[in-house]
Amino acid sequence: MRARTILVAFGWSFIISSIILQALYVTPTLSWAYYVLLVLASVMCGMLIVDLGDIIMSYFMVLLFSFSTATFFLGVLPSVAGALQSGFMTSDLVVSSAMLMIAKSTFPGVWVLCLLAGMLGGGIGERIEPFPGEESEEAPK
Amino acid sequence: MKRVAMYKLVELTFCLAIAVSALMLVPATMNYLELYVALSHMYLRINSFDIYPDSTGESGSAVVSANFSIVQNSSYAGLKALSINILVYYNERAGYSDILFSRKFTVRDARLGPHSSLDLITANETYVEHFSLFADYNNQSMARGDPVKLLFSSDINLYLLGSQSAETVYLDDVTYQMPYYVS
Repeated sequence: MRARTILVAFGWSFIISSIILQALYVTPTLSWAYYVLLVLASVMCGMLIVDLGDIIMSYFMVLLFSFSTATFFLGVLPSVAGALQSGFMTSDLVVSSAMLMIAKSTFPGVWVLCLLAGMLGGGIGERIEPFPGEESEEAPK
Repeated sequence: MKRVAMYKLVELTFCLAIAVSALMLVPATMNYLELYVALSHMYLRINSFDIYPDSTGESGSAVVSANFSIVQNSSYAGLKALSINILVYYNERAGYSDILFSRKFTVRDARLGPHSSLDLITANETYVEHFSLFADYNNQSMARGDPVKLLFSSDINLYLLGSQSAETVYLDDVTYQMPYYVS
């Protein structure tokens, strides 16, 4: 995997976790608008990665990193930021309920959709990816 | 040439998407963190509380007029309340063991905005139970020269994070000293 692909995968994870978090901050399930955003983001990232093998590898990175990021923001951050008052709610309870909430609202639909959209993006990406040397040839012009 | 331009456009959109995600995530996260502050700092405020014997109704009954507020003292936006339960106890010497009255306020999806309060009003409601014992307690306290203190215990049923089912949040108990004896 190229470094560029890894960078795109991290970006993909960040966008996906941001969309999921913004949905879960206000509602326990994702509405269709969030699904559309997730598909668009995944198609775009697939277009940048292009190679199907790399897309699948990146997808597993995205799955792991997005789930961890969402758990961190929903479950760990309140205690790290000192928002949880002692005796009011334990941090363990918040973390476990956050993980449950993310799993219930995203598995398996969201993740399957992201993979399929990423693969679709890869297909589109093959049509728009510059030919080897095309980018470097442009510079002298 | 066209492919390069198209590819560059996708790259630019990707960078913009990351920036927009970060920009939108920050305020949403700040608001989410305030949820815990809102839940732990929410309290019951007693604006007024009056109880007196019902001279017109059944003997041993009382009329209660009260004005409470549930104060949401944080900047969190997104709290909705279903109902509030208030239980009033007396007999401080025995650890507020005796109940005076209880009241459930159904507010049906009332929004508790940032730094706002929800007013709960009981106007001239008649209570039959427990009042005669409370009147006796007042007489005993008056004989001893002790003030009559009440303990207000409350909980609020809230829809958290857009959930369809309400969660119960227990508020801190509030003690209130009666300004007069009721007998």
